[in-house]
Amino acid sequence: MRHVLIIDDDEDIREVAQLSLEISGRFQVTSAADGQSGIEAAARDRPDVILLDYMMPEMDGPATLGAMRQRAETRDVPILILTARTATGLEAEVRGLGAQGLVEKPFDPLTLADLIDQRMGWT
Amino acid sequence: MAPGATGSGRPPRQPGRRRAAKAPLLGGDIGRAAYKRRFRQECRTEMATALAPLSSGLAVIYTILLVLVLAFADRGDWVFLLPLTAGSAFAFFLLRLGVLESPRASRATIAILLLAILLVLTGAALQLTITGNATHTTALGIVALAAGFLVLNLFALILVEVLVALSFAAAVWLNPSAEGWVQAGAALAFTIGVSFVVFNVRMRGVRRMAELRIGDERHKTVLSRSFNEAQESERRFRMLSTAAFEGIIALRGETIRDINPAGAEIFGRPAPELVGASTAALGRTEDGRTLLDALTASGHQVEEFPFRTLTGALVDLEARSRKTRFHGEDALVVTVRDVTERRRHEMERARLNRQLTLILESTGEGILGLDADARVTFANPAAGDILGRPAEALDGMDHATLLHPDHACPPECPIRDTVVKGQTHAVIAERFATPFGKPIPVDYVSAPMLDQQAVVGAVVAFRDISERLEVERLKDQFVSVVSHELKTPLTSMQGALRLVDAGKLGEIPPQAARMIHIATENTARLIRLVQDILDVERFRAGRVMLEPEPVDAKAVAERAYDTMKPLADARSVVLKKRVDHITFQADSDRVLQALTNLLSNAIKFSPDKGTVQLVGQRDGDHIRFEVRDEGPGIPADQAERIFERFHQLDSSHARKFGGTGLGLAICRAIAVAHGGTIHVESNARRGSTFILRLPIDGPDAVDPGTEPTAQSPHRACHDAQAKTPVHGRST
Repeated sequence: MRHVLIIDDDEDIREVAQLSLEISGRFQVTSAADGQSGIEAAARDRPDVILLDYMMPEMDGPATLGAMRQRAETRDVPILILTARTATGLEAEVRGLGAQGLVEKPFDPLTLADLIDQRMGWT
Repeated sequence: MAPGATGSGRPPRQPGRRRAAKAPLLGGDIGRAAYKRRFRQECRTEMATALAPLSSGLAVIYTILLVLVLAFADRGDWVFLLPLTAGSAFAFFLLRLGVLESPRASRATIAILLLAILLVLTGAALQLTITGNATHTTALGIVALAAGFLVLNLFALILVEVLVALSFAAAVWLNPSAEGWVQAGAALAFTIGVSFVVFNVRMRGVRRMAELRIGDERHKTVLSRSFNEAQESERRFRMLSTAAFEGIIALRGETIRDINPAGAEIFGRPAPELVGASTAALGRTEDGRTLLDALTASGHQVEEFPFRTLTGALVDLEARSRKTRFHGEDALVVTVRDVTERRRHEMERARLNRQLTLILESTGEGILGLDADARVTFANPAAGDILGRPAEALDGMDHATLLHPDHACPPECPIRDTVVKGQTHAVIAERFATPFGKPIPVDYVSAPMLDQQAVVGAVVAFRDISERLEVERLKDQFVSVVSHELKTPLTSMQGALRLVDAGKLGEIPPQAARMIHIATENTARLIRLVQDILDVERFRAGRVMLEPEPVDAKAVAERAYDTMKPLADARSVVLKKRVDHITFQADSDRVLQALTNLLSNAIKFSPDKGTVQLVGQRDGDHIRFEVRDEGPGIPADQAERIFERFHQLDSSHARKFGGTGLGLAICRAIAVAHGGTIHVESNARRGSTFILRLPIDGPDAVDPGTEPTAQSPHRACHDAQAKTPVHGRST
């Protein structure tokens, strides 16, 4: 069972994503509501992958990503950026920041687990 | 040659008179008979002039002497001689005084002579009656004189006088008396005098003839020369005045002395009718003045005025006049020109000018005229407003200094290219310099000014797009917000509903499941709509960055097929594909999106158990995808409109099939972004075929996703219908 940390300011998203992944039976899910607590959780729990929301108040996705890459505990944790933005070049941008890939919103809860596996190359 | 010019009877002697007298007689071209006739005439005139005073004078002397003799002899008959004396004296003095020196003097002289002769005869007759002696000789002499004079045979006359003198001498010799001596002396003096006069007269006649002849010749030559000159000059003048395009009128006072054909034509009347008429016959100005008055009022300068001719025509006249002399009188030569046509053209030109000026001044676009050196020669007020300087201050400025923010022409300056090569360029989102430092964003078109194929400059028409850019920025921001703010709740909704709908969270009652399903479907539709809107908007704003890569047509078609297969199955539509292995350069995600949209569209409009076919093959240097359906077809007048945003043949379709009305607009945007095309061929019976053609070599080198400042001006400027959503990518 892999551990997924979801960092998103929207509680509903967190809940839906968590449920979607837990139903798959392949993931154990924890979540954080903002970048700072997400970093703490990541440093503490060392998840297998982090779903990090791009657009968040105060500390947004890229900032959180940057901060995690600065910390030794979180430096190597794979991160997938969760985003509603569809701008061209966004994937390249987040990869440049050290993320492993994108998960676009809206995602299909029935296939979210598959999507993460695919993005992470776990299949 | 007044005959009485030498009325004294004493002609001046001239040294060469003999020679002069001979020459004309021996040669010359005057006929001999004519010469003689003329000579005789001259002589008669001269003699009359000479003899009149002589005879009168002699008559006076003779009668005075006679009176004295008779009075001393105490004879009473002298009183009878008084009338004779008085008449002679009168004639003499008249001649001496020159009263009779006039063209008719010779005839008058003859008349006086005859009168004198009559008086002498009367006197002689009286004397004869009273005294009965010797005086008969007087009568005889007088008769001889008269006869000689009348026949004008001078030699006969002299001969007669000599005979008279001899007879007097004989009478005195035979019967000596004082009276006799007087009479003899008188006769002698008379004879000598007459002879002298006769010779003189003859000499004078010859001389006069010579003078006459020489004068004649000279006169004739001079006359003929001046006549020829006059004729030539007249001919020249006629030719000029007849050929002149201007009307020429010679005026003396108010009277038209002459008018040339051009003039007559202007005033619409034949020249002969006008010559001699007053200037009023030409017509009048609008305020009732004649041509002459109008000219006088203008000081005879060039004057243009409307003029109504007597024929009623209203013409614009240009008239000027000059004072001159004509046959020794003050005259006025007027030249007139019908400038109606010219004036009409001028008015038309002025009107057009005014219109152009108004247009140039009223337009919101800045317009600059540049010369061949790309210097400003014209700037309209809007240009000044946009560039932040008074329009007049722009004159003469170099375009680089004026327009380019760094005041230097970039290597590929479209404006310079226009001026140098005559290329038209439409440039989007360029920046022009302003004196305030911050460049101003503009769209502009730079078009060449051509004069007979040669580029003489350029016209740069530009527009301040600050406002538009601001609106675009706000819209982008809005879209970005919408994309996030809508998608986030939608993600939750869809996620939640899908989990329930899929039964992952346990069994729910059938009716609730149905409702959940409806909610799920509509959420999905809402999500598609939001995504489509965002796509269209991003294409329109040129923010779609294509990522061209080698794409296998068959592979991308299979992905589209796989994606749409479930929908086709759900609708009982048979989905077929026949796509060749062709590698082409494109953004595979976008091609997939286009094909998916087309298939989805075709499936939605297919009848139950209908067939939708996806065909892909090479078409020259393009890849050609066809999506065929067996649907109801598309009316010809809608074939283009369906590619517009939010266009639906029937709005009920959207509800029924879950379409957004944006799919085809996105397809077209994708096609255009790749430098390709999309269109539909439709038939009500056989359905529709959507044809997407994309270049094998991929989109143009210029990337439409970059900032529009780097637009290829060529592409943009030749695209007159740049309405399509993607900048610089129109067909």
